[in-house]
Amino acid sequence: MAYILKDKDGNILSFGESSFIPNLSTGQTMEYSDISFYEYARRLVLSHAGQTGLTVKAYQSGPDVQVDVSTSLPVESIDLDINGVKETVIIEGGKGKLLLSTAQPGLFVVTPADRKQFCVAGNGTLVVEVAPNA
Amino acid sequence: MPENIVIKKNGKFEIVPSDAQLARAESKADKAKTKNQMSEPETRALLERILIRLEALERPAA
Repeated sequence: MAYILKDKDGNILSFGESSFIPNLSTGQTMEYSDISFYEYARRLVLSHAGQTGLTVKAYQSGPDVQVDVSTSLPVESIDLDINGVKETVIIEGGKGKLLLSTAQPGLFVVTPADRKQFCVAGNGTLVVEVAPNA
Repeated sequence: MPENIVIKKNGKFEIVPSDAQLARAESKADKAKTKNQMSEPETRALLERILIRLEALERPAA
């Protein structure tokens, strides 16, 4: 059984599986789900080349970085936030994708736009760093 | 580390270069320019690029 920790606005802050009950701050709520931690974590996974939870390193003018989006939920699309810009990713068979250009150096931070449905923590965030050419 | 501004272009997301990044992109050409006589507008433009890059260096990390 997984617990889901939410803030006062209902945004998912974290989730986990523990026999310890976390101390809640003011306004926070905790819900329980019948599904396991592993299953809950698969609601949204952002990855690149099979890797998730790591900062992806890319180089300026190198190959574009494909962000793979996968979900265990029966949805047709997922709204993502890329450095504050919202993008709707079409989901087919539980999978979708997003392309990031390496034309300019900098940092991409990809997170779910709907934080009431998806958790930003863990596999819900992917950071891509494009390093400048020497 | 601050997030960069992004735009969607040709189906992919691209980082919008900052003024400092644009100035940095001119660095090799700027070095080459200093080996020859420069006009006043060229010198002013070069100084401006140097100052933009300096400001970016001095800016505290967010």
